Amino acid sequence: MKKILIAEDDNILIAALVSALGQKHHVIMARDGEEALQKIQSEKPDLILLDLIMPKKTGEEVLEAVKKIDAVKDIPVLVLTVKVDDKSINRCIELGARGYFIKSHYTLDEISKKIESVLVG
Amino acid sequence: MFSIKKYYAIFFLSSFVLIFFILVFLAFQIWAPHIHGALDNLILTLAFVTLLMSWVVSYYFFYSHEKAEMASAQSEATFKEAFENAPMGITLTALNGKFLKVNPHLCHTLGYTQEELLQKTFADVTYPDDVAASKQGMRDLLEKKIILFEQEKRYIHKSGAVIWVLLRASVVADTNGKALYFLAQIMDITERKQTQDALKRSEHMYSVLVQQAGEGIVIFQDGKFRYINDYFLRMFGYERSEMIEHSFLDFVALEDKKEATERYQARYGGGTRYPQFYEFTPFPLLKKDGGKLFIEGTMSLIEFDNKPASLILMHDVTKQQEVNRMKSEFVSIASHQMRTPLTGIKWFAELLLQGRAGKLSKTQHTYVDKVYQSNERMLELIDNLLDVSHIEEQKAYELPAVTISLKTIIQRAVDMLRPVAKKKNIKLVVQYDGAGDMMVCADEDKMVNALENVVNNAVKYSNEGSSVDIGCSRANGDGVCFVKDRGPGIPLEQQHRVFDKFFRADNVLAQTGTGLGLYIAKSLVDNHGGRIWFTSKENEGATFYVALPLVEK
Repeated sequence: MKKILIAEDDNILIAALVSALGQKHHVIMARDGEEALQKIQSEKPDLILLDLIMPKKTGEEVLEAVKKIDAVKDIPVLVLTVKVDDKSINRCIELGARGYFIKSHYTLDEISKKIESVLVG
Repeated sequence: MFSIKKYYAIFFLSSFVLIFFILVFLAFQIWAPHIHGALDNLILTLAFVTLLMSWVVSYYFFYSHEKAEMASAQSEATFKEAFENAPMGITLTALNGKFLKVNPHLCHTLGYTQEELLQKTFADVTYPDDVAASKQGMRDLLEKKIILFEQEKRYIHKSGAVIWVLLRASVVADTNGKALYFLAQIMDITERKQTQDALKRSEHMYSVLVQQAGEGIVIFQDGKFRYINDYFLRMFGYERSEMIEHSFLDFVALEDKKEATERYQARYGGGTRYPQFYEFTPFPLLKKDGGKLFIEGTMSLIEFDNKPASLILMHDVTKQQEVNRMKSEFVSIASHQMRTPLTGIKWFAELLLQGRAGKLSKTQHTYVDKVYQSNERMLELIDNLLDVSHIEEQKAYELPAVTISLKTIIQRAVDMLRPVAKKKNIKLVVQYDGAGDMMVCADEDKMVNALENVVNNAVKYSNEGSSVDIGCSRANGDGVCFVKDRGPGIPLEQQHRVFDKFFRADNVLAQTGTGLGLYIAKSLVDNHGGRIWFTSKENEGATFYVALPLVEK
């Protein structure tokens, strides 16, 4: 069982993700960017599922900050967002995200598999 | 030339002198016969010499007078002939305006007989508005302010028609300078006047059209404005002198200069790429007040001063640009906003279908699956709308063009669709014959998206277990990709609407789809200067072709 941090501000999506991942993994939640950054440092999760559009700090800001903190910079980050523009995708990959997924394009099953493959690799 | 009167005077004078000498001779004979002799001879001699002289002088004057008379008669005949046959109207007009003499040409011009005209004054046949000017001219002639009066005036033909003439009049005076009558030449210029008027009207219309057309019109040569119409100046608020002979770059804001130069180079760089006619996409130019106007229009190659130049027609699309931007922004925000709740539906429907909330009955499963499918359709629609909005926005700017091989494009598009094809057990048969060498100038992602839409369609409408052929070939300098399916084909009567926004063929309505896929593909291909078309028969599948101009290595 691994520790997964879900940074997401939409309760319904959190509920769905917890249902899908909660049985296999220990899931921690953060409802905004600041909380996410703080929990990443305190909890040191094995994987971060990061939304981009969040209150207080955007996902990009969180990602940028994480990559600058030695203690957490190697934690794999998967971006899970509704933003579909190339600019946003390129920026996240540049900042070091391991994957970029558009929420509506993936089933929970597919997301779980991606997470597993990252956790194993 | 002596006048006849002077001749008579000399004749009588010389006769009196002769009579005087005869009387003197007789007087001497009667009262002084003593001085007879020498004096007699002298007087007689004087008398005869005088007589002889008077004869000679008389003869001379007689003769010359006769000659003058003959010449005068001859010149009168010549004048009469000229007067009668002149190819223009000639008239002698009395000082009170009455016609004294009119020639046949004038009669013909005015449509009256000679008798009729001689009953009239010039004012009777002059167009009322022009009488005053004619009278003024006559007064000026009489007062010797001018020696020649010229007037373009109107006469009224007997039929009532208005005729334009050019009149030139002068005064004929006697030897004492007393005015006798007016001599006038009248030339019919109606036709010339009509042509002139027509020309003037057409010129006026042309100038109004060009100057006032709700479109900026400029002629551009050697990088400079050579002609600018009023409307363009009004649009931008400049004086003509501030723009003419200036480079268009002088009116491009600093931040836009790079793009302007690139676009200009792309069109004119190398000199060989002069397009005959081309539509240019919105571009910002500076107004005098510092604001920007987005202009859009057409450019065509013309000759100006014997050199190639560009005729540019442009209109202000600043508002449309703003509206487009707002529309795109709205679509973008709306699609982001909708995507989150729809993802919620998608994921929870998925959880239900997986039995995470307890096993579903068969009917429950069917219903939830319908929810899931409907939701998928909604999500696809949002994706496509976003694509459409991007494409329509994209038209505003030239696409970033990179040289890539058709193989890369095909490979990426096919890879994206392999999972979908696998789900339906459809075989994607790809042939890359020579595709690696076919280089095209394109925005890679956009072209992949275009082809992906075409392949996606083929897969979507293929029957389970069938195959889709994908490949490419060379034709007339183009690289042509083809996508051949064995689906239901497109009904003939609907084939012309295949690339319309939201079009869906009648025979595939049962399938989910947004009707935007091929519209997106066509828009993208068009934006790349390529072509997209298809051949299809109902029930025999369809083959779509995408042709892009090849770039030689």
